[in-house]
Amino acid sequence: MDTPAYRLRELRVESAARRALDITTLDLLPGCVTAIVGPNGAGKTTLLRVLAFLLRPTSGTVDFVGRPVAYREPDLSTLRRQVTLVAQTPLLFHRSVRANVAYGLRARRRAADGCVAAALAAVGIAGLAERAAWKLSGGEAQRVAIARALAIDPPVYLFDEPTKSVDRQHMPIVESLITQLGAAGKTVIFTTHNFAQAYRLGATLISLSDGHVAPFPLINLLRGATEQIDGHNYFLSEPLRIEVPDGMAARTIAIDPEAIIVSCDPLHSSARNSFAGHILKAERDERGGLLLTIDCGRNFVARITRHSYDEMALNVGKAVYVTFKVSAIHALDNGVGYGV
Amino acid sequence: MSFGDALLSALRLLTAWDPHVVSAVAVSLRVSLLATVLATALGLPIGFFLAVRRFPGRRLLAVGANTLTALPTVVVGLLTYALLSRRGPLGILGLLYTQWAMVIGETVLVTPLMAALTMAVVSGADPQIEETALTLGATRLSAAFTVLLEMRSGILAAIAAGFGRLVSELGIALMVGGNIADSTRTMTTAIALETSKGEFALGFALGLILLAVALAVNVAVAALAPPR
Repeated sequence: MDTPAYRLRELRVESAARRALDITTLDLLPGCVTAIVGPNGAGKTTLLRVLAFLLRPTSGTVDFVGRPVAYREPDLSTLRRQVTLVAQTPLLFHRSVRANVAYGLRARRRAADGCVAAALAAVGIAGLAERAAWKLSGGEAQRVAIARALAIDPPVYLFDEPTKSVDRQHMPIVESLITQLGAAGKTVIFTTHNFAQAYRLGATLISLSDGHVAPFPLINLLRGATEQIDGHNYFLSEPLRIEVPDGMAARTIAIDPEAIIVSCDPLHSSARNSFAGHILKAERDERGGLLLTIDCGRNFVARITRHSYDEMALNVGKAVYVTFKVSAIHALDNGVGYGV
Repeated sequence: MSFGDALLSALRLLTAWDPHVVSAVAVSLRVSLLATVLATALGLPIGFFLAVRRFPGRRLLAVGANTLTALPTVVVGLLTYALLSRRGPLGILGLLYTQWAMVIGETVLVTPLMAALTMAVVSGADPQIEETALTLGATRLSAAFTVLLEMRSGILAAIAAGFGRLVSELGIALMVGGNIADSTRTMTTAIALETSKGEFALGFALGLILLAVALAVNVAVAALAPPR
């Protein structure tokens, strides 16, 4: 079993107003792509800043590749050089694109030219090398920031919403870059609020909400209320009536997309929940899976294999049935905002 | 004497290349520029430190620096005189009535200003500048320089302000310089001398020359500012 790249225990980060992060335990694996998903305000950026050694946690421990992090210079400088963080809204220095991309190399006293050219080419902005960085569009700026990271090529890459400002045309370049880095054995951790992207690029998915790591993916979130009907426990979220485990009382539930069965005909099974709907969207991921968005009055996202999709001759618009067991449903704590 | 006459006088003095006027300009520039450089070398790190580090007494020091920007030149002149006069602690250096005395006094005068302005500029810097520098592998010191470089238009404005304060000051130049012709006579002390003799026109003309010199220096500083 590999040593985790990061091991966080009892990690708390508190700012003036509130507790931004409260993670009891989290291990992040090395040499692969991890996606951290969550709504705005979940603490994704704070977590990345802790992982980049830019933010010292209020309490708790961080182990990096098996060694506990001592929060003092010069150890921190050495650690920071193992990781680089590409921010959500990156700050480019008031100089040329080339000078920006060479910055990290200069800081490490390494020769710049070859690495800079390669990095610029990798993100598709080779022609912008001499442009003034402050004259770039948001999408170009984000790609320069990514090039800055590629030029120094550390063992760990952290991306905060890497495709947020990038225009549609260039999104595939950035996404394939993330996949390539993972394939090359780099530890890549990126945040996104887009579940489809997370599934598409991430080998591991971590859901973050209100500073906590959720033990299940925060997907298929439904708001409503539980009610006892005929001695059974139901969750009512117009227009659906979903049977939930006895004793569950929640305002919000999540349903595991991997546990949803999609069928062309009604499924008579032990599963208590079955709804008719039609396919709205089908999105592929790199691991042979498909995320289907199915409208049953409420939208459900189900993850099935490519193989099934082809065999069942499914396509967008087709009428299907969505079935899942009561055990696939998770309750979110009452009152604690899950950003729904 | 009208403004027009004074202007003509000034031009005549300049084009005639009156050696006494040239000498006064040279002394002003030499002393004030050197003092600006020294005050920046001292004040900039202090200001930066005050802006970024949290330590007990920080707020007091910051308020102190801001207050000292209001030091009257005569007071600084007196203190420097006391320091450098033969009966003073540094009397053996024999610096009184030399250009060095003026440099020392002017440096003391404007170091608090440089510290206060640098502190203001750095406090206003986007914290993401330092973070970006650090995450790209810069050491804390390197990152600090990057912040200053990114904020250079503010820093340059501070330096220009410091220079402006010095080239126009009178109290120190007079008290510790002694206004000795061709040695410690600056433009400001020359103006003081001429107006005390009743030569108002000459005084005014010299004033215009001083402004022209200050303009030249500021244009040079502006050339260093980052392009938009």
